[in-house]
Amino acid sequence: MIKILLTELLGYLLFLVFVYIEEPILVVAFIAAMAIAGITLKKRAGLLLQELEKTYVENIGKVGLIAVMIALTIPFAIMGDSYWLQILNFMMLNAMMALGLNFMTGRAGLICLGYAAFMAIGAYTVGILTLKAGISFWIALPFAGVFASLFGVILGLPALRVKGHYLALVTIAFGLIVQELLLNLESVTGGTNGLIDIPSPHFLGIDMGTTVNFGFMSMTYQANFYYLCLALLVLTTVVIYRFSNSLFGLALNAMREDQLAAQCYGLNLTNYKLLAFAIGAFFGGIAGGVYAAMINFIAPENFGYSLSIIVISMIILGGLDSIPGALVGAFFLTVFPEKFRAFEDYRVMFYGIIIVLCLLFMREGLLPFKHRIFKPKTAARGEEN
Amino acid sequence: MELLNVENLTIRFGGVVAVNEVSFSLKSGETLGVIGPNGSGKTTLFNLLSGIYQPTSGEIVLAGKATKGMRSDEVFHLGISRTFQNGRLFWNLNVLENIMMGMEEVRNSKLFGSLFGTKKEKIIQEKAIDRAFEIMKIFGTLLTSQAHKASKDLPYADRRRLEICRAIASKPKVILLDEPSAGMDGVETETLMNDLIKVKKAMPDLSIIVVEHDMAFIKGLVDKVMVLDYGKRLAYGSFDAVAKDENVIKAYLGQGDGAC
Ligand SMILES: Nc1ncnc2c1ncn2[C@@H]1O[C@H](COP(=O)(O)OP(=O)(O)OP(=O)(O)O)[C@@H](O)[C@H]1O
Ligand SMILES: [Mg+2]
Repeated sequence: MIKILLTELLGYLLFLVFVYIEEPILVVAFIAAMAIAGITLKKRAGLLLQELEKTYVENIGKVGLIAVMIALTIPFAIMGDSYWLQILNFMMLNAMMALGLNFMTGRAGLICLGYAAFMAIGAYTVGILTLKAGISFWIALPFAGVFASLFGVILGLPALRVKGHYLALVTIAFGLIVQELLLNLESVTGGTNGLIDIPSPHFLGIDMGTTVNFGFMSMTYQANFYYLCLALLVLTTVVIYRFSNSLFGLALNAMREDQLAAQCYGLNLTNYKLLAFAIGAFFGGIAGGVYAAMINFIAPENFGYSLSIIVISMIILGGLDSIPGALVGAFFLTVFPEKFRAFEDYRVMFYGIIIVLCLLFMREGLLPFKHRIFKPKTAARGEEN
Repeated sequence: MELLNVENLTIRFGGVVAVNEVSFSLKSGETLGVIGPNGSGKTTLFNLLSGIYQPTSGEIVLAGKATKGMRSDEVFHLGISRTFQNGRLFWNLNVLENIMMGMEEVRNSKLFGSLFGTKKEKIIQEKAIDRAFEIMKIFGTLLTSQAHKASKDLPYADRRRLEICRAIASKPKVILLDEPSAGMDGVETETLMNDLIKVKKAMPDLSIIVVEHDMAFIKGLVDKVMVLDYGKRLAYGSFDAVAKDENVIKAYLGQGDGAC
C-alpha cells in the first residue's frame, strides 16, 4: 500500500519535472537519464521490480484509486497551465481510443487500421446534434458512442469474411470511406470547412468553455475539460477492464488465438466479432464527441489515416491486450512529442519509428499482458508462498 | 437406436474426391477407429463431421438431426467436439482457460453480468474452474499441477492430453480424436490409450471416433474399425474382421505386419 503510494508519487514528481523543463537539451538529457535508470533498475534490481509488479497486479483497484487521486491534483500542480492541460486532455482522449482499439485488436485479434473513423463519427455526431439540432451535449455524447458502435458493426460485416492482411486492408478502406463521406456530404458536415462554432457543454449552469472563478483563484477552461476527460477515462478503463476480465473476455481471447478452433468449440464468430467491433468503436465515438465540444471546431482532416496509425502505435508501444499498456502508451506518445514541437513535421515519422522499433526489439511492449484472466486457486496460493 | 448415422458422405476438391461415398454408424458409448494411409481422407472426414466443410453429397445425422448446412459452432452445440491433428490449442491461454473454453457456461455468459461483475457471474466462473479441475483429474496430477501454464509451454504429450480434456469439457455426445498419439513415443502412446479407456469409463455414454495410423494401438480401445483408402471405405467391421480383411492386408502391404 505504502509502496504503491510512494512509487506513484515518484512517477508524478518525475512527470512534473518533465513538464517544467523547457530547454530541449535538458529534455533529451532527462529522457536519456530515465531510460538508463529504467534499464539499470531492470538489470540490477530485477527482483525488486518483479515484486513491485506483483504488488501492483494484486492491488490493481488501489493502484487505480491512488492514480486517480493524484490525477485530480494535476491542474493545480501545474498551476492551471492551459497549454499542458490541453495536452493532457488530448492524452486522455487518446487513451480512451487506445483502450477501445486495444479491445478490438489486442483482445479479440481484429486488426483495425481505420480507428480514426470512429472518432470522426463521434465528433460529427456531437457537432451536428448540438450545433444544428440544438440538443444538449450530455444527450448527444451517448449518441456519439452509439453511432460509432453502429459503424463498428457496419465495418464488422464485411470484415467477417476476411482475416489478417485482408482485414487490415478493409479497415484502411473503411477509414478512407468515412473521411470521404464527411468531405462530400457537405450539407450536413460542412465538407472541407468542417463544422465551426460547436457549442461548449454546460455543466450545472456553467459554460465549460469559460474560465471558472473560485474567488481566490481562477482556472482556465481547459481544466473543466480535464475533469470531464478524467471521469470518462476512468469509466472507460473500468468498463474495458470488466469486459476483459470475464468469460466474455476469455472467449474473445480464444478467438484471437485460433478462430477455427474457437468456432469448433461453439463460438458464434459473427456475434463475437461484431460485439468486439461495437464495444471497441464505442469509446472512439465518445472520445470524438468530447473532442468536438472541447475544440469547438472539427474538419475531416482531423481524423485521417495518420490518427489511426498514432492510436495503433500507442497500443503497440504499451503492449497488445494490456490495459495499463494502452494507458501508458497513450501517455508517452502524447506527452513526449510535445517537448519537440520544433520537429512537428516529423511527428508521423516518429510514430512509424516507434512501431518498427517495438516490433523489432520489444514485441510485447512496455507493459506486456502476462497475467491470465483465470487462474487456478491452489496454484495462485502456491505462488504467494 | 444409432446416435450418429453417416450416409454416402462425399466431398470433392476440384478433381480430388477426398471422401468418397463413406457410410458408417455409431451407437451411444461406442468407439470407432478410423485408419488409413496418409492422404486417405481421415482428417477430411472429421472436418465434414465437425461442420468445417460442407459435403458435396451425402448426409450426417446426429441424434435424429441432419447437420447439413450447419456451421461448426452449431454442430458443436449438437454434441460433436473434436481435437486437431496438428494440435490447435489456444496457445497463449493457460491450461485451465483452455478447458473452460470447452464449456457451455463461457458462451452463455452475459455482457451485463460481465460489466457489473454480478454475483451470478462470479458463481458461474467459480463453478467452471472447479469443473475444469475435475476434468483434468482424469490424467492424475499431470495437468492439474500445470494448470497455470500457458498451453504453448506444455510438453508435447501434455498438449495432447489437454486437447482431450477441452474436447470432453462440453459433455459432448461424440468426440473426434485426430491422431491423438501423433508425435508420441511407444510408451506415451500406450499411456494415452489407457487414459482414453479411463475417459470411457468415466463417461460411459460418450462415443468416440479415433483416427490412428497404426491399428495395433487401438486394439483394446475400439468396438469397430473403418479403413479408408483414397477416400473410399475399404473395410468396416469388428477389429478382428478388419484385421483379417484381404483388401486391407493388400493396401497395407509392406506395412501390413504393423497393421495387426
Ligand atoms: N481443403 C482442401 N483442398 C483441397 N484438397 C484437400 C483439402 N483438404 C484435403 N484435401 C485433400 O484430400 C485428401 C485427403 O486429405 P486428409 O488430410 O483428409 O488425409 P489424412 O487421411 O488425414 O492424411 P494424414 O494421415 O496425412 O493426416 C488429400 O489428397 C488432400 O490433399
Ligand atoms: Mg489427417
